[in-house]
Amino acid sequence: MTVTTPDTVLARSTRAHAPRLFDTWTKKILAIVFVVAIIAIPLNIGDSYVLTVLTTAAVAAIATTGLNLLTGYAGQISLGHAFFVGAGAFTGQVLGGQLGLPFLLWLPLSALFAGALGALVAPFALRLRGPYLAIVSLGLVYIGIYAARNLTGFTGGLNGTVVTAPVSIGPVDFAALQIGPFLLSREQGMFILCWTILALVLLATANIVRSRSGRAMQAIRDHDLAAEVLGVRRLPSMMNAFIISSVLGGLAGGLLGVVLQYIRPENFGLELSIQYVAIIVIGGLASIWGPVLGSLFIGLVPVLAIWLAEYLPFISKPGEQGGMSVSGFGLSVYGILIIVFLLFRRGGLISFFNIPRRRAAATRNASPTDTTGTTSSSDTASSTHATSASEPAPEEPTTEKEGHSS
Amino acid sequence: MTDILQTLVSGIAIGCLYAVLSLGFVIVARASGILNLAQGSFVVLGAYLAYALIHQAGLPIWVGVIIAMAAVALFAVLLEAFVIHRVTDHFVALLVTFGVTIAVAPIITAIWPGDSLNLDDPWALEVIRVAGIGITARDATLIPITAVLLLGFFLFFRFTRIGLSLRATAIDSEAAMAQGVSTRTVYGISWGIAGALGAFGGIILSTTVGGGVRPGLEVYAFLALPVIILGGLESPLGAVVGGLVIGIVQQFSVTLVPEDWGSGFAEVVPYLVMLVILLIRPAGLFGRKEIRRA
Repeated sequence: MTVTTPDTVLARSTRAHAPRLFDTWTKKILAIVFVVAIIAIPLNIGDSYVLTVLTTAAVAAIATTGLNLLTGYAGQISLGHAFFVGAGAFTGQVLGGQLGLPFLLWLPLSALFAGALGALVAPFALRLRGPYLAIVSLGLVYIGIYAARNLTGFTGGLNGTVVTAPVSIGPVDFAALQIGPFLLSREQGMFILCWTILALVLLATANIVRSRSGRAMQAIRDHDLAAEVLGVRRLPSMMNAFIISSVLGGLAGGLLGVVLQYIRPENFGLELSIQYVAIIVIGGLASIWGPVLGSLFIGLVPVLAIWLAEYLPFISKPGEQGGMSVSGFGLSVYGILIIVFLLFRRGGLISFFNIPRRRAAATRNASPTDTTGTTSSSDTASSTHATSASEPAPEEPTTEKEGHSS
Repeated sequence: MTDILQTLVSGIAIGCLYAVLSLGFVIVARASGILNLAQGSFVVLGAYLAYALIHQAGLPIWVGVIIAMAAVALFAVLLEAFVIHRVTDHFVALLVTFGVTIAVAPIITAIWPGDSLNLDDPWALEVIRVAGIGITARDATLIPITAVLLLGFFLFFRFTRIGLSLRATAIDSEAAMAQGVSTRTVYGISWGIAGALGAFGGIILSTTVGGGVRPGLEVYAFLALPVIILGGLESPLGAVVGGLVIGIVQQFSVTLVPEDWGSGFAEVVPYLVMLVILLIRPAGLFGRKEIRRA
């Protein structure tokens, strides 16, 4: 797909060569189905628990789309994404709740504030090659929690704060949405709001990834020396990825605040960062839909754990002592899944759906039922290129996805 | 004056712990270039195994400590051989080792539940007074032991054949291979050492007053990360010096920083030092500036 040949990297006049957003009919149809589902699902599901799980998944997907841009496309690992999400959440409450700014003002401003923090940190973390960003971002989580605990005026300190920021655009209030004759509940309104914003974020990210700056990130990821020789500057490119990812983190944070309605500094600790890393690895690094898939999957883990606690003796039921707590079970599941996917299925869950085009044609002729089984080997082989950060791949400079079969 | 010396001594005690923990990171980073976040799981495993051996199996404390270190070293070697060795690039290796820590820590704390398990260390709350400075018996025992341990490692690196092959692999693994050094053995040994050091660090952590073997020990292993940035990612000497510097700075920040800077400032001091170092000398005190050739 995104073959970064020398002239596409160098010349600005070659923007016309950027890959198309929806290059197949399947993608076009899926995009339309997605948009329809955003309205259709909340209208048909009234259960507030299910809707909250799905809404939280959308928020996580916004945050991890940012993280995926940094980790998947730019090849830099951040273990501190929760810091930016937390910054966005508390800024959202300060601007929207305490100062009473309207939704269309406080949400972008809190995202920008998180982006500014990212811009402040980026030069420290990205000056050197190596795992520096992972270490610095881990430190950020602790610095962030310390700051949030002690800035009691803004964050409520240890006790946290109730989020009262408004969620209405003009007359349209998402907390009590009116569609025709139906008055929707807050959960239904928040579902529509969060999934719509997610759709916009995905569209923006897909465009960033196929633009010059996005291809520059991927070129640096695949072979930084080669990319620099071709005229891509490493530090600005990496900073670009980091700042965009922080902005998306802040955006998700602002939304998470109004979804949860009550936030504490502890909500944005290492555990949340771990969850985000798990989402992008499980969903699929360097793919647009991977984070969405991963968020839905990870959103199910706590639900599953509570359900399993009935049957498995080693998980303690909520409120009971002894055995493994539900959050502890979740963490070990994340850890094990990260290892398993990285070792055996580098492309993540999304790679089960991405069938290389030529293979797809061949299997369609042979047997239409057996697709995932036969393509798995070539899938993992090409996705190794997609996710490798340091491995030089001279014969195939930059491939965005498994879709491009060599 | 005695106040300053007092703080200095407790700083050195914490610094020794940081030195041990960060040496584990540095040894693996030198041999294979991987930032081994699984160190956190070594710390947790070491502490809980020692608890099980000493408290539940009734072994004498030093026997328990040594067996726990050996067991964790074995775990580390097996982890390298069966999991990490399958991974080719450092990006994925970092994530996989992180996954190991996330997966192992909750399982271990579920097997031995409890907020604070007592390791039955023999020091209790005794304090030795030397020239007006109070040193806890624990610090008085652990500082020399750590010093001997670190000295032992340096002698091992400098004067043994295995130490030489470890250093050779660190400098140029292909050239070392050409000279007949088995890099697989070298990786195994370096991971084993890292495991033993991590376990020892976990046991030291569990003997702090009011601490005990407790959930969340893996987070302390990450406190060694600022240290290795201060000292230089691949410098063992840097790990020791950086550990001591950060330990001392942290202890002074406990006593000197005014109350209104908020609670828990001392806990983030290592990370703040790290940011300053990245600003003024990003390669670390003893790190070399990387020069790359295609």
